[in-house]
Amino acid sequence: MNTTSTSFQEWFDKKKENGLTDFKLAISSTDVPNREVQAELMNIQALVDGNRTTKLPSQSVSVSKKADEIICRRIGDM
Amino acid sequence: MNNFNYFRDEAIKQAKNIYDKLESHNKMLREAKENINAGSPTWEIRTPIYDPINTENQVNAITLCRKLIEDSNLNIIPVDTVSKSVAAHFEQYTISDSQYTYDITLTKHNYCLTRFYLCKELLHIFLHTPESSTTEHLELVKLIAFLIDTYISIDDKDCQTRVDHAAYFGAIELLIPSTLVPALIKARNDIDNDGELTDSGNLEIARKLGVPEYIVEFRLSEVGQEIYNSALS
Repeated sequence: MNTTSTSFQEWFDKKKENGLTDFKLAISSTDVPNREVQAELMNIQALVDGNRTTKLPSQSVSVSKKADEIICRRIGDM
Repeated sequence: MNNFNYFRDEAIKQAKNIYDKLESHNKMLREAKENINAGSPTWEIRTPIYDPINTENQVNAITLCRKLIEDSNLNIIPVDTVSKSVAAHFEQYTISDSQYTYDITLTKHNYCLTRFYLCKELLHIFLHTPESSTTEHLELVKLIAFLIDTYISIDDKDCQTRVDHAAYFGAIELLIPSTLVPALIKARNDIDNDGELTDSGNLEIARKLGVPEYIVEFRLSEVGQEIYNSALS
């Protein structure tokens, strides 16, 4: 994988100049072709700076009532 | 017992134990990946992590974050961007010898996946050491390559990749505490054997706990149990 583009390296080096002492990331899928991952990594800066929101996702589906009772009963038996 | 401290300490303990024994765990994890076929859930839910000491008091990932925000300089940055591959990333900045700020950026996923990736990145706060930090561009490239294809470096001794493995394990512990697993296995079997319920036990538990279904399947599998049991021993 080639992620050594100048813009990405410059962006990362700039963070280091600003005091960065660790950088980790989570990849959500290994099914995406490497070049697409690379393209997205180039856009990390845009991810951070361009689309900030205050909203975290919320619920839309819940456990069925009977399954909920079973789970709660088993946990209650502990 | 304080809920926040309990979950945090358990997750850190698990993650560190697994970090120390990572080589043998890697083999089991690889086998688990090959044998587990559950897809990612398409639903979004909100269910708190259970407190096994007192189930009326519940702790969730947001509570954990708020506590960390109070205790440290942590910024959670959700972005309204769908990403095929980059789920989240963690940045640590040094203010002084003992003071840091942390930024965790989360791309748009459903509730369960968001919780999972958030917990994984949170673990980096606890697991950080100077030896495991990623500050050089080439280290980051190597880490990204590892994350995209774990098979190329499954036995890697590199500190950055070991910590990343441990963070995933710790995140699972944070979301599905080991103390709950025996009860959850019984509940899963009850649900699977119930003639009226149509969805699988793993899926119903995933909905209840707010955890991706494939994580529940892994954690309750024999391989998952073996990994975590050996980490506790």
